[in-house]
Amino acid sequence: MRNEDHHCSRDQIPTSTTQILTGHKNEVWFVQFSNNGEYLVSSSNDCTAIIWKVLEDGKLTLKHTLCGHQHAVSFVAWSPDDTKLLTCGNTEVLKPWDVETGTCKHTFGNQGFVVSSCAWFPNSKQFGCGSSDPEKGVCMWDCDGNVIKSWIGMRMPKVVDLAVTPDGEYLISIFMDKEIRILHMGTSAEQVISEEHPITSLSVSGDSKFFIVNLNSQEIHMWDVAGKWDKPLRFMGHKQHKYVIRSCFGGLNNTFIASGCENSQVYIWNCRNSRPIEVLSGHSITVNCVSWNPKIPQMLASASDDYTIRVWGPSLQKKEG
Amino acid sequence: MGRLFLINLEGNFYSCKHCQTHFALEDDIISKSFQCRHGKAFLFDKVVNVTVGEKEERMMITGLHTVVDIFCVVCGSIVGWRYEAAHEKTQKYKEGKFILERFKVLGPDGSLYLAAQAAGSDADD
Repeated sequence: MRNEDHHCSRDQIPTSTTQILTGHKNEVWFVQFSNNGEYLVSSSNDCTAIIWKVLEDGKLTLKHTLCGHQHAVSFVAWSPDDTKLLTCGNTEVLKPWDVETGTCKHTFGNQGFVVSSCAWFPNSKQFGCGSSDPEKGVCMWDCDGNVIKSWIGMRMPKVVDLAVTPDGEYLISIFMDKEIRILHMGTSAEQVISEEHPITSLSVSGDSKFFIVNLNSQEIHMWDVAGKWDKPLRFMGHKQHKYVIRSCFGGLNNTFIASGCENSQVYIWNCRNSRPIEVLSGHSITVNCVSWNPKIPQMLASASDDYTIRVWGPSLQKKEG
Repeated sequence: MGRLFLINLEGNFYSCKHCQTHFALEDDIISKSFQCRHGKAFLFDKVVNVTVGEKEERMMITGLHTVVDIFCVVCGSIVGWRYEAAHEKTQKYKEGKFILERFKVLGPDGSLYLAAQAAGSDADD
């Protein structure tokens, strides 16, 4: 039974390129499926983000190109209701977009505004924003640009990445000094986890119970949001030294982790094993980010410095048991 | 090139003279008494935002060392080296430490350093 389950899981793992998306004119730094699995957003060093529509046959088609940033777009966040997107310019402004029309009504920040990442709250009307400026800390804004709340320490370290758990209970911040802070939104109780190496990115599981961080020591660590674990689960085998590389949860029952890599491959782990179960080849240079379709566990997208996005699905050939 | 993960230093730091990428804190200087072909060099405990080259044996004034050159992660210019191993017992304290050539970096006050025209000196310390 256990072997059979494993065999079924492997048949459902994306291992082959099903489509190559070539809408960007420069390195693709970020990619993420919407929560309903119907769209994919990508963002690039060409200063644009693109919204792609996932068609019924699994193919993706270009829906909107979002222009307006003056710098590389390094991060994008879907609102929980999938009606809005926030795009972060690399050390630049923050822009909310309407997904249906592809239009932008406001721009947050200015020349001096240095945003590193952002995260929506479950109401899809407010978001948190992390800054690279130690004076700014973490701010909570509404869509009209009003600052609702700030968490500013005496000397708040630079924020590297930020996430709100899907249940809205925790705000997780990654700081340049290798600390992870888990803030309970209701009680303001805070837990701190220290890592030994710089952390480049953060991703939270769909059930709000776990999160993973990419370290530039070439490991991915999984921690529990409740903060009961003394040490993380570790995943390794990929290459990461110089770049921001992002990973994600996904697959059947969200029991898999996928990550980009500096050697042009996509790595996939089962959460129970620290060594990868699949290594996907196809890109020609660094893979910066991967995203698993939350509704189609066999669909994975990867963003690369080769200017392309690859969509991956199961191999059509049955593998021998 | 991709989205580099750059570490920003605060306080008094040394940075790349070409692209101002942060390299090391003044507080992490172990010694300012080193020499290289462009004049002064400083020994640091920690350096960030560099990539390393190939390991090689290098004869220096103080004896044979195994070193790797270090390059700015952003613009790729060579900025110094890291000591991997020292063969002389008296030089063991250098292992794992970094040299930044003063000529290649901006100082904490933004100052550049003009290479000394040391007569005949061609060896690295």
